[in-house]
Amino acid sequence: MAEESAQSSPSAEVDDGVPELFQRSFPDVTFQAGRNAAGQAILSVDRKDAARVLRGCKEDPSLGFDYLRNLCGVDLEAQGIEVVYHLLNMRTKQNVAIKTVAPADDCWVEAITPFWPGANWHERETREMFGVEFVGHPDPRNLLLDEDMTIHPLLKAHPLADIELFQGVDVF
Amino acid sequence: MMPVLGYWFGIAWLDAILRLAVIAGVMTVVVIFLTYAERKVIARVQQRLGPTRTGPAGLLQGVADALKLVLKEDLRPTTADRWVFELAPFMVFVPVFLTFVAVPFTRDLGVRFLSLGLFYIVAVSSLNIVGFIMAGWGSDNKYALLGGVRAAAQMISYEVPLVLTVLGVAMVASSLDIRVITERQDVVPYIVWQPLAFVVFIIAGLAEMNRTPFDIPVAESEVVGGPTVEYSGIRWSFFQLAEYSSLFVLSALGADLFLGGYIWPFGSNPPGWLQLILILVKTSFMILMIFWVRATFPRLRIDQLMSYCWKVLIPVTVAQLFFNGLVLVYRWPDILLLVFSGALLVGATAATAVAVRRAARRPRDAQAVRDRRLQYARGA
Amino acid sequence: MVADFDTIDININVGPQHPSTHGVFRMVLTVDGELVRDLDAVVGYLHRGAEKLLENQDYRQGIGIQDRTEYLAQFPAEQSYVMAAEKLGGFVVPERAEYVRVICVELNRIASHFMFMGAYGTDVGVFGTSFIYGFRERERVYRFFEELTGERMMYSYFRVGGLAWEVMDGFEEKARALLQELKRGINDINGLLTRNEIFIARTRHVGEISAERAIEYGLSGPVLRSTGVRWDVRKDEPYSVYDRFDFDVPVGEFGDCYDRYMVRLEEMRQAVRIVEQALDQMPKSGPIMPEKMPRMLRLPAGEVYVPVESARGEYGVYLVSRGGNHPWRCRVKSPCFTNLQALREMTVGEYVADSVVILGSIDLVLSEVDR
Repeated sequence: MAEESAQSSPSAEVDDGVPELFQRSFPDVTFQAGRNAAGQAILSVDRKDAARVLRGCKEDPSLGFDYLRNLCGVDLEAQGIEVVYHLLNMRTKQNVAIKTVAPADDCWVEAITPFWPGANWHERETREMFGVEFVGHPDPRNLLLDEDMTIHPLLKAHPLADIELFQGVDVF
Repeated sequence: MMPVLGYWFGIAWLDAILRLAVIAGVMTVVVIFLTYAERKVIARVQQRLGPTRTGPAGLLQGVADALKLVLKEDLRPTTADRWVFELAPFMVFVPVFLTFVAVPFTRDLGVRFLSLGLFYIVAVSSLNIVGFIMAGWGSDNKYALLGGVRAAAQMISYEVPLVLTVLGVAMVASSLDIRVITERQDVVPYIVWQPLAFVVFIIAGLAEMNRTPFDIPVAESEVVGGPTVEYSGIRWSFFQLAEYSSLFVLSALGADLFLGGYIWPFGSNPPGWLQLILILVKTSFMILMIFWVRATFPRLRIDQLMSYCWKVLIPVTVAQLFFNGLVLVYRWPDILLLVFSGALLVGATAATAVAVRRAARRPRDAQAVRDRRLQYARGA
Repeated sequence: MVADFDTIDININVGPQHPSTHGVFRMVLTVDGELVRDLDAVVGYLHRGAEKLLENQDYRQGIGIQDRTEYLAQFPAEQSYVMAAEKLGGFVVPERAEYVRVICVELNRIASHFMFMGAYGTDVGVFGTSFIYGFRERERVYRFFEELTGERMMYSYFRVGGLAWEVMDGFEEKARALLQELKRGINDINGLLTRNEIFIARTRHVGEISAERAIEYGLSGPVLRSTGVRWDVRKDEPYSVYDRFDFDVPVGEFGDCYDRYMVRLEEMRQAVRIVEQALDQMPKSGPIMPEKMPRMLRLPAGEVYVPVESARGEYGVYLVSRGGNHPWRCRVKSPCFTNLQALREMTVGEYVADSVVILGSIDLVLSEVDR
């Protein structure tokens, strides 16, 4: 569909130096850098490093990504659940998305709520919607769903149309 | 007229029954139309029409509401304390009706004229605190409990400035008979000599009646009606009856004490119909003012209410009493009453406004304040 | 010095049915007398699975869901969603459409803030007067929108690439007349509340939160700006045509309820300014959709996070596409959801009566919190 004249090419690659900045700050962590459609940096890290990198983002003034815009999960089906953290540096106005993947059969990531209070409800929501366990979360109750609900509605495996099947049946 | 009502038959108990019937009848009618008036007035303030459908110009809306309330089911929560719950409405409204007894409307129109009428009203009107606590406790509802305790704290506190203001008037008139007090105002009403007392009387009266901006015990947005939250139908209407009756009685009392009642400005003995018109106009003025306040003011918080009472109202009213005493004992000219009272009024108003604005501008350590509160409440 | 008798804390359930929880929100207050010791916010009563629905509907249908997600500031929500799709597909929106969008969004911001002013006055204890004032003005805006879009609340007027249809006749004159009325309405609310001593006493230094904590919590919108942080997505990461307007970003001083109110009041005035400038600059004619828009929208694989400044804060849409005509994942980052997390910190140590004021000052819309 890119041949349509109404569409221009996605934003040109911008070089805001964010991936390099992260690589300098965490030399021992391997980042897979990418760009989203708005030209903002995406950094994928291994989940064992994720919490450490995020703590650095918040507490290291040279990084300064101390504003958590968004935290959510994305279902990658076979690869597991991807947890995405959208961060902002208010001074330099740079954005970065940190991504980490939790495999479906061993679905956990480290919680960042202990040092980042703004992540609290986002992690709770991601947990109940995708079944990702946030290790070290101080209050891992269901947030939006019923407290005893054990299904994870935002998984692609959870059907939308067949919801009637779940109603009235003792699934919960 | 009225004082000889029962004596037409020469039977004391018939007289008493007739008087009671008059109270109940007049009060009910008054309350029904006061609710209508309030809805109309507030609607106009808010650019609405208010009731228009029931009867001509919606005049029968109050009647319809009263009928509906009477016909509604009388619910009682199963866990409520039965007797306390069911008796509470009466404990609230009987004292209010009792105050009606001593209010003179004209020289001849009134249920009973007591030589200690002012004292009687002040004493009886504070009894309904008990009713609010009973309602709050008996409902077995946390909102009601919170509201009941708030009501108790607020009404007991505001009893003091209310008494102090009427005492100021009583000093100037050197009488506790409301008729005497009224008739001393044939030339100058006491609002002129005691402006502070008038203002504080209205403020404390609003607090006594749980009306905006002091509707803390029944706050709709916080405790959802407070002590009355579990009541419905006829029992709830008793609370309503009590609220509007006390509004009426207090306004009439204020008109008698401060605005020259049925006398001023038509000399010492206007004709009876004129007296009735005078008192009704003045009472309506007071009531309208209270409605107007209700339509415009936000609500205070309970701690602000308390500190306003104890730090502002009581000191200035005591000071006014003190100055009244000086003026009366040393026979200084009357104008000094106005000077002292007016100065106190202006001073207290300005001081409050300045204090609020200054506190608003001053930064403070929010977390420290909260920690201190939490610690203090623990009794540390 | 205090009496040594034992007191117990009681739990009070405020909500889900309560006059001042602004919808179905529940907070479990642990109170010691009038003092709030602890607060547990319970949300989710209005959870409708909007994100799941968005994944299962195509891009055009998703616009309608955005309306229902944020039912008081619908246009910013729509804008965020269509902008995300435009970024992914690389569509260029015609200038005229951008201006109409800005006008809609800013008028919607005013309407939403009027709703806040009204409800906030009621929370503080005004007997309905502020409420009626606020609703009166909001209704003017809604009437305008109804004429523009055919709907009073659920507009679905923005489209990926532009607008659904051309504006009605006399759009500009009607908008200008509306602005004059709204200015009067702003002054009415201002006159009713701003300088009232009781209002000041009730809201000043209540529910304070510091700038550092606000950033840690990720607060946004007026709640963040009231703490003194000058961050406005419209100004700092200009999207649409916001870089062409001259407007101020009001900030508060203490981060308390009064500042939040004042920031919103000033934002309404700034929104009026923006709309006036937009009406001046708007091309009088021109396309409102790019030529040759595909009939069924299919976006290339990719992802984007697009925040906009909604009435309540940063409303962001995180759109992940794997090709095809509906998103793989559409996360709605709602400002209230994030702001509400700070409610506990703001409220503990304040009085019961303040808890509803603080809740009101966050200006929450539950459908947006629960989605």
